[in-house]
Amino acid sequence: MSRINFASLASKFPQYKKGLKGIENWLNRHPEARVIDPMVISREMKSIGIDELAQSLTLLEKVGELTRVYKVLTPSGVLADGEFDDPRSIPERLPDRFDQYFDTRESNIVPVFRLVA
Amino acid sequence: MSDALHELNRRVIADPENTLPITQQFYDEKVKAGDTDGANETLLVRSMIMARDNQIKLVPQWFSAAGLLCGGLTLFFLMGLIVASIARYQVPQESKGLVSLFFALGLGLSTAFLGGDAAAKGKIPLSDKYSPIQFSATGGIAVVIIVLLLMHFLYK
Repeated sequence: MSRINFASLASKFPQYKKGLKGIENWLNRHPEARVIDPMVISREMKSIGIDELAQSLTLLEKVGELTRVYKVLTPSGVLADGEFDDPRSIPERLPDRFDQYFDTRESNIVPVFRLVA
Repeated sequence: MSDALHELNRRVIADPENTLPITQQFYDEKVKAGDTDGANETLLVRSMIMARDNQIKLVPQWFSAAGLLCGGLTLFFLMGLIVASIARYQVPQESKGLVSLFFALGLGLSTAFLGGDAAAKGKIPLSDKYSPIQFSATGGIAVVIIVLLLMHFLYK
């Protein structure tokens, strides 16, 4: 069960009710999760619009329940381990999970959200 | 927001080999223009659209369920064979090849699905040059071959 008071947030921000409910349900289904990967919830909750989910995640960040960090998604579809507060600070080379450095030039930058509590 | 997203996508599509520096430059421009929130939202929505439209090579969501199903069926079949042998029903000699094939395919598929899912979730470390789907296929085929060889020598 998530510690975030989604009911209170949904009553304060009714425009995000659907997105917040979706995120709450996802967290209840994954009680061990400490990180919310927007790519995963986007694929798992296709009935909720991407804008609604994105705005709900941003709301949770703004009220201090989540922190946003950036990761590198390699062309092979794996998230590299490094986390960055600012996407501009991602270096040209990063270690993969075998500590072999790879060129990040072709990689995508993706945000993930860490639960604060 | 939509305009910013289209602009970033246009730049990336024009030069995909420089996706990361292009994204960094785009983000920097937006921040310097005083629109940090817009820059963050653009990267967030872009990643979610890519995932939903399957532009990112993630393994399908049903992989873990399919892996458990294949593993469960194989185990159930093994239990059935054990119960049958206790009741003195033996597998005919000419059908043992089919039993071996069933076990090999069941375990191979289970390994492929569960292994691919675990690799995609980062539970199995992969080199950057090796995708979860490649790991899934290679692992599954390897298990089929190994199990067939083992059954050939051990199940006579």
